[in-house]
Amino acid sequence: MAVMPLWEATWAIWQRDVRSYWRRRVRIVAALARALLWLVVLGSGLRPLMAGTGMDYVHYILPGVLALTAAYSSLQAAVATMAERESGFLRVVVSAPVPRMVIVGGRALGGATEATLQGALVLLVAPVLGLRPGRAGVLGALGLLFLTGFALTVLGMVLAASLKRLEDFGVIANFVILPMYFLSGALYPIPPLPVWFKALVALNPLSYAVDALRGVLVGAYHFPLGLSLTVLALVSALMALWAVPLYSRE
Amino acid sequence: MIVADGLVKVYNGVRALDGVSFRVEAGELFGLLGRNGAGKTTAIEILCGLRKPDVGTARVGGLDVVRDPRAVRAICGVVHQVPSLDRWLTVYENLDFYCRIYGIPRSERQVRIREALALADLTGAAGRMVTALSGGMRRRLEIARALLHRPRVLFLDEPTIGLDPAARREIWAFIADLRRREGVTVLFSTHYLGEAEFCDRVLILERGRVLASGSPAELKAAAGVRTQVPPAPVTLEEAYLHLTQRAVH
Repeated sequence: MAVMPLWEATWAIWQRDVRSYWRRRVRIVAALARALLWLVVLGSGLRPLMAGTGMDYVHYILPGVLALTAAYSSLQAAVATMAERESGFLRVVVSAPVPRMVIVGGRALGGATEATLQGALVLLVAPVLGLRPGRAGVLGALGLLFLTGFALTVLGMVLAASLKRLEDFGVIANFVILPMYFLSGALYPIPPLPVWFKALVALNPLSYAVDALRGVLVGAYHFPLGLSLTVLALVSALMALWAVPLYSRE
Repeated sequence: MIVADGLVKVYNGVRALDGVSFRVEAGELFGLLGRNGAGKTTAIEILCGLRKPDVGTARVGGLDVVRDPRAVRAICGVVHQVPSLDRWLTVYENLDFYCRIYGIPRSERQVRIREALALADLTGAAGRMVTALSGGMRRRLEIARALLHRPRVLFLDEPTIGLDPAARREIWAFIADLRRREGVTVLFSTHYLGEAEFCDRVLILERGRVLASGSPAELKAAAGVRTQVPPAPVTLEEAYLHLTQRAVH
């Protein structure tokens, strides 16, 4: 039997995911509205109280809101995978003579792309809020969003395959995305936090995404950039290796 | 073309298949009958290399479904009971996605997609979103799509479920036409007995076991003998009810 072109199948899934992303405008707008709610409403509301961050509070939380946006897009994509494999378009892939690992590859690239595009929309709003990160900052942020999106999509695929209840996206939003967000240093500076809190922040992969994004956008780092990139790359690689057998059972 | 030998599959202590054996010859239209939960879907999933049997073997086109599931999947076209069209893509994009997943070379995709559209009588609908199609059109599209890679066997799991009588008739005319033109072996499952009347042969599954098999005429004759109730049953539906002893009177 001829060797099936793995790359073609992975690419087809990626392309399909990006296409369907553009066609779900309501979801794009809703995600943008959520980001603006955090930035404008929470950001402006807490701005006077958070003078201790050493910068405008809205600028301080923008990287966190970008990471949150990436988390929603990529986990939404990840969680849909299990269901679409049983009774959706991925059933075609399951029935075809390609190894099922293309589902993980295609979906992870798709989730990462969606996270990047959705984050880019939020970045477009940044100048309105008085933040002009420059070309290098924007490119760096887009690269980080892609890496973060990839890591979170494969992480979400592992979670969804292991815990059936997580197919309900509301559960994942409440028990995965929001705790990760609140424990990431997205909303408050890390140095004054109690030790137990700092430990949780250090264990949370999203912290490194938030910190690296803040570094490239406003130049303030808590962790070294190299450490953040290493953590995100490691999470991506380990979770992808873990996810492939979960989605490959014949 | 298909040889199933002693297939057993157990889910959570329930024997979905309990020693099922049968053969399907090349070019046949073969019907798998039985009520919901009789084991029809499990049998189809094993035969097209999607599931492994706990016990037993099966060969499709000479290939072992357990040892070589990917090669089996390459020669099988499957239309699942649950629709697997992508609602976010157009008719054309759905067909193109399928071609790419099945490794059909780029140079051939255009021609095959055009053929599939013509076969499904959807040439004018290529650019429409799948959600804009009727139930019958979607089913025709799924069946035509399953033929894009020129499979030797086409599996149809309850191809007319959820369709109204007119659409069901339309699908059967489509399948009859397909066999004439493509000469493909077709195995389908249904619980609408009337639909099995036109099969070459049928197999009745009941709680994971083979209850009866043969041509529709043979089954009717067998049911007549067994129940000893004159006049002999005339429709396959009556034969089925007699054989499964679920006649109401």
